[in-house]
Amino acid sequence: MTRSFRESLLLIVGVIAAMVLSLAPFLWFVSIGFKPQVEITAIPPRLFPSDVSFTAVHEAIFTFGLMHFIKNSVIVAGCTTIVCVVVGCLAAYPLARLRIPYRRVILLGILAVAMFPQISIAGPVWRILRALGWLNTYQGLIIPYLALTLPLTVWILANFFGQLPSELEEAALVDGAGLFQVLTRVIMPLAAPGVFTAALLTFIYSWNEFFFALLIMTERDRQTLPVGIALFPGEYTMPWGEISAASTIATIPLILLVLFFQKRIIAGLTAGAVKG
Amino acid sequence: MDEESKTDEKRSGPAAGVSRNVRVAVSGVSKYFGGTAALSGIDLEVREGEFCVLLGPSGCGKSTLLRVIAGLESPSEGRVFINGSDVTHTPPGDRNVAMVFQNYAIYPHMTVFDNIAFPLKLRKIPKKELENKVREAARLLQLEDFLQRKPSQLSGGQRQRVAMGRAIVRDPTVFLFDEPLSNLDARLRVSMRIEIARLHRNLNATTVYVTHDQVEAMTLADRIVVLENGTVQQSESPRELYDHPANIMVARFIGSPPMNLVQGTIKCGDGGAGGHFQSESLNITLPDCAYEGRAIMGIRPEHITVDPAGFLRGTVEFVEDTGSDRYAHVAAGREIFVVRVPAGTEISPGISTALTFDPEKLHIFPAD
Repeated sequence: MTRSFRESLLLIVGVIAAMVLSLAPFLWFVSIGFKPQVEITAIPPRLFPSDVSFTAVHEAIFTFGLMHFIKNSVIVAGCTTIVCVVVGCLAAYPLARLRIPYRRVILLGILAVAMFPQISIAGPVWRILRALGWLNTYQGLIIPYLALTLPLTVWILANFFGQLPSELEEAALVDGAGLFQVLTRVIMPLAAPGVFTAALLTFIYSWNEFFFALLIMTERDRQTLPVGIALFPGEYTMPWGEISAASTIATIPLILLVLFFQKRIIAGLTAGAVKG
Repeated sequence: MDEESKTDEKRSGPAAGVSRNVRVAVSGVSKYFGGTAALSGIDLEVREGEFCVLLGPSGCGKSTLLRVIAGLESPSEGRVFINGSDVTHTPPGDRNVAMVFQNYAIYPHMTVFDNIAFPLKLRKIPKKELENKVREAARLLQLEDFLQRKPSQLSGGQRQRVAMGRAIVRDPTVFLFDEPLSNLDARLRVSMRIEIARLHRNLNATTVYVTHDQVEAMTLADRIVVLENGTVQQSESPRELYDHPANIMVARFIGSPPMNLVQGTIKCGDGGAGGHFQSESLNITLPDCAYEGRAIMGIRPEHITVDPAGFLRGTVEFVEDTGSDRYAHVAAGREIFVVRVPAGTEISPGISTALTFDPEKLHIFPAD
């Protein structure tokens, strides 16, 4: 066997392993979501439903109010992402460019904040929010999310900004752009892959986050998707079909977002700017 | 023009003394990075329409000086004047200077048109006028067919032309070039050099041009400012610089192959008429004697002739043939002289010969 053949075989095995590990549970609950009621608990279980049923989807939406949770999640995740990217860009640009003493230490400090276990800040966060009267409000969830996602966003953006040739900014400055215009018209378009990566990570985090959402949103009115779906089970019922259908629907926006932004998250956008 | 000179007079503050056609003036500029001085006490004036080249080895401070003029670095000491007004603390965008960078620095996410139009868009120039100006610049630089392309679809020379288009479209007070040709291959460099010369002649633009390439400097410049260790060594026309280098650094730096240099001592003759240069292997009579003591004598390769009857006996070590010229390396005593010989001359390594030169062509530099 040639070396390259062995290597590519290893790669293929790796890819398949990764796909099976991460996709199998997903496919399983997709399948459950569209199974007729009787097949969900059938033994032995069937991977492919004998008939595609939309009962669970219908139930999830109309009985369990799935759309209501989706609305809350869109508001929370959307606001978190927008504010996070805007603030992140404004913070990352000086950190990437200005001659600040201990720049590296500051960046590492910011990253260290992102490493805090959530549970360690849960108590103080809850007390602060209660004192502000922000429990069960959107900002009550958005602000903790910002605190948790900003460090990584700043880190990613500062690294992306730092890789751009500084001549481009200098050219823009000489051309008559102010610092803010340099950021919005030159730096951000060029760092678009970084900006979109950071935005996507932030969105996915706030879309999926469960612990703080459960802690802060105790009223059904404000609950986000993960909490909402987790509270589907009643005292005597375990609506597996509805949970699976809702989870599938909850995943669709994320998949669409990734597919949409995938085009933007390409390397080599700066090709042609400067002599490489 | 009238308008401009009026504003000049109005603004005439600290620079009131300088004549009106000085476009860029740098006065007593020093720049320190940490503890080291990149520039110390630089004075420089660039007149209207002048092509001024800042020349020096890498690390001499020439790029820093250009960046100080552009406003990308602020000087630690001293002031910068553009068009007579003090711009020391003015941001780069408000100085009406245009800059072309070594690695092009054109915006990769914009088309050629948008790249050239960028400075005009920032100035909110009306659309119609903007389009005319961009097309005019593109015509001058033969970029008309590429206006809708992205930089990644252009060759190196075309990218550099886009960068130049972005500069000329603004009609700036002064053009700043930071080693614009050093990323191009040798052939393209020559043609772009000619293009820059032509552009300068057509636009009569005041230009400050940084390079480490003496051929670029000699061919383009009205005036060359030689820098080393952050200080001006000499500021003269290319011819003057070549014929009368002010010091040993300039003598070494200008000319290819460089000037032959010999260390020795000068003793003036009795009565002050003439003198002698004495080194370990040389003894040369000088026509006049302006300096006495330890000295370095310089003579250019083209001013030495191979002449069997010459006064300096030596052996040919090897011969370099550059096509148009041949250079013989001749060992005489403990010195090696590089001599330009006419293409037809029979000369080969190993032969004994003699050299001669006209003492009038000698350069004498005091040695410390």
